[in-house]
This record gives sequence, structure tokens and C-alpha cells, in this order.
Amino acid sequence: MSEILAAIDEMAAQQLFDTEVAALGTQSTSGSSSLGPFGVSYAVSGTLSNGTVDLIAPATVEIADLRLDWHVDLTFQLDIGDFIPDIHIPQVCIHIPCVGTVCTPKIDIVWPTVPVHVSFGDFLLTTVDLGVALSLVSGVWKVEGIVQGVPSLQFGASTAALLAAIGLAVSAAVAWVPLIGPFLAVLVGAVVAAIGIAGLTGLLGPIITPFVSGTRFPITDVPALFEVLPASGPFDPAVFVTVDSLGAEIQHNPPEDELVVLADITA
Amino acid sequence: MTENLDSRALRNTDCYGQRFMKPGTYPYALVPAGGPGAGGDFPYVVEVVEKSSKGERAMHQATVTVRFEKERHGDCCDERTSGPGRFVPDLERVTVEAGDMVVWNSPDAATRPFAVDGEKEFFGSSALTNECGYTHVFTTPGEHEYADAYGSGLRGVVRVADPQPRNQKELRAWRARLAEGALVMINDGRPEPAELEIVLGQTVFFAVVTGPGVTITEASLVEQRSSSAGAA
Repeated sequence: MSEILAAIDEMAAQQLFDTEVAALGTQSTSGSSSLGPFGVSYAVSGTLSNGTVDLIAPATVEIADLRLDWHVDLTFQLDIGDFIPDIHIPQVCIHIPCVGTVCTPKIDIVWPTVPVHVSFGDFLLTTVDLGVALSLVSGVWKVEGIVQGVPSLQFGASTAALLAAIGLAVSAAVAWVPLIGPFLAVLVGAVVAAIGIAGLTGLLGPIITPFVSGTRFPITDVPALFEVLPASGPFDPAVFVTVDSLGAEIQHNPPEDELVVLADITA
Repeated sequence: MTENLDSRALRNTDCYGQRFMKPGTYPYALVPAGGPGAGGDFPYVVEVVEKSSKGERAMHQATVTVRFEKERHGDCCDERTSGPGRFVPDLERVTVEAGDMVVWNSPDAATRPFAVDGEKEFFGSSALTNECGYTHVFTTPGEHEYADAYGSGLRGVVRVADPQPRNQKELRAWRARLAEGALVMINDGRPEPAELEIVLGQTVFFAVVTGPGVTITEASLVEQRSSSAGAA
């Protein structure tokens, strides 16, 4: 027979969620990936906040407007010669009065490879569904909400802003390169076009989604050996029951929706 | 952004030229810029012979290409720039006639800056004395003031305009201008013209007719050195 061990209404669930999401703090990771045609190393961090809990019977916990503030540092190597042709200073001859004509040799200007660093941050809002996961760990039943599936993150205007940031970063990175001036606009345009919106979302999606997808929010812990009556004296010890299994569901108990934790117990 | 305008430190965008007026043997060395110099070891030679014709003859020019050869000690490093090594000319001995000019240049942008150090006092890129010159391709836009690092008072300005081509036609027009050089004649430490306007990528010839041994050095570098010396 199932016994109700806990029942949480939406208000309590919201307070619990707010506490848990705040406790998550800022998470970060790093690695390497592709940014359009470039190999890129990245360091990314994300902080979750807000989100409105909606309990929907029979089994859905929806978090609407979950906010993720993210920041990414990117570094990639830009071989300028891949985007603009090498330039050649032709032989230059000049007549020096009373001396004669002097000529310089042709000079090949070979474009270098330069590192480009981009630092950019923004936020996004998403709606996710939590599934309730139950697990027995070291004699304690853990009840957790887990973000289900892979939410589709909408970066929206962020991508255009990040492309602009990449353009600025390229300009800054190549500013020292001799003779780059006349080619700067072409170079920046070519790099930004080569990356494109597709290149950006192809990078951002996989590295930022894990900050949301699969995130676990603890709901409650239940000891497998559950105390139902405390000790009231030296000859009246506490009474325990064994929680053999747990279940969780959303019950519509008008006017409330509640998350209910059920247990099968034996004495 | 620096222009690397310094006749004492020759890069791929620079040439040093020296005219040899008298027959003879002129030993020289190729040394790292800013270093102690050849130290009496001049392994290369410019051989100047008598003119082949008595009449008027146009000045001829010989060009020496300089490369950096690294001493190999196992597997190590970039051969052009790292570790011990030496600058070598493509011709260890170059022969010209009296009145001809020899021009030195390193085509490799990665080669460290070097200097031509002649045994004779008049012959060397570190101090331009007479019948010699320094050429420089200006690669950054802006106003570049230059001065003599040895304090002769030589001073001038090269204003470099950024062409900012807006289309292929303007780009082609700019590239065509790169073949046009500009000349600054330096007589007794006075440049003529003292102010010059060119476009990015153009070459300026600083021709030293006579002088006390000067340099063409970006003024900011000279002033930095002066202030450092003053502070010391």
C-alpha cells in the first residue's frame, strides 16, 4: 500500500526551486570545438536564475522563463592568407640626380597567422520540463527534478551581436599587421561571412545547452529507514518503517496542483 | 602599431645601398642589429674594379640577398629566427665597377633585423655616411617623424595616407602606385624635402650624399632612448 510521504504545492515548489537554482551557482567548462571553418578553444560559464514553476497533472513540472546568463571566451587562429591574397610590393626604381637609377627588389608580404580572442556574454530565456527521478543512494531515497530532453535554446539577437564582436576582435587582432589597412574591411567581412549564423549556433548550442539540459534540482530526500515515531523515553524507542520504493506524481487537488511523493513501506 | 623605421635594423621592407667610388677590396660582415658588430671578422667582400670604359657609363647596381642560417644543434627551433646562427649573403664576394652601387636586402619577413658592417668607416648601414642610401616601405598609415639616433639634428616627416579602397578599381589604382617611389636627398644632415606625403605601401629612398654618419630612425624610438639615458 502506498503512503503519502510529502505533498508540495506550487508555491512551495517555487520556493524550493528558487533555493535550489540559486544553490547551483555559476557553472563553467572549457574545451575545443568548431566555429565555422575555424578550430576554436573555448571557456564558457553559465548561471541559471528565475523560472516559474507550473505543476501539471499527471506528471509534468514545467519551468517557464528559466533564465541562463552565459559568458564565453573564444580563441582561434586566423590565417589571414586564407581570406585575402598575399600582396607584393613591386620593384621600385628611382632616379637619384648625379648618381643614377637605383631599384629595390620585389618584396613579398606574406600575411601572418594571428590569434583572435573574443569575449562575449548574454542571457537567454527558455522553458523546460522536469521529470521526477527517484534513486536510492546509501540508504537515502533522493527525489530530484531533472530537465528532460534537450531544450531548443533561442540565441536570437545574441548571434548577430557575437558576430559583430568577432568582427571587432579580428580588427583588433590584425591591427599590427603591416599593410593590412586597405584589406581590413574585406578581411573582417570574409571572416564573419565564413562563420555566419550557422557557425555560431553550431558552436553555442552544444556548449551552452548542457547548462540547462540534464540539470538536476533536488526536491527532497527520504531515508530508506524512515522514522515514523520518535523515541519518547529509554524504554520507548523510535519506530521506523522501511521505505521499499518511492513514487512521485502530480495530483490535481482543487484548487491546487501538488507534487506528491508516495512510498511503499514495510514495518 | 610601429613602423619599424630604423636604418640600423634592416628588415624585409628595407634596403641598404652603398656606392663604391674607388677600386679596392671592401670586406664586410652581416650582423644582428643592435649587437656588438663584427668584432674584426669581416667574412664577405665587395670587390671594386676599375671602370671598364673611360667614357660616361650609367651606374650599375648589384643586389645582395641576405638570409639567416641557424647553426644546427639537433632538432630545434625555427631556422630563420631562433637560436645562434649567422646572416649570409647569396654572394660571398660581389664584384662591381667603381661608381656602382651594391644593395642589401633580406626577403624573409621572419628574419631578425640585421646590419651591414663594413671594415671601412664610410661603409655600413648603422651610420649612413656618403654615397649611400636606405629604402623603406611604409606599411602603417599616419605621420612618421624620423630623426638621427646619433643626434646630428637630422629630422623629417613622412605622412602616410591610408588609401581605403572602396572597390576593385580603387584597389588596383592603389597597387599601381606601389611601384612609384619617393626620394629624400640628405646633404650634410639636411633632408630635402623635409616633409613628404606618400600612400601606404610606397617606398621612400633616403639618399645620403654626404653626412657625419646618420641614421633614419623613427623619432619616437630616438626619444625613448634619450629619456632612458637621461633617467639613468
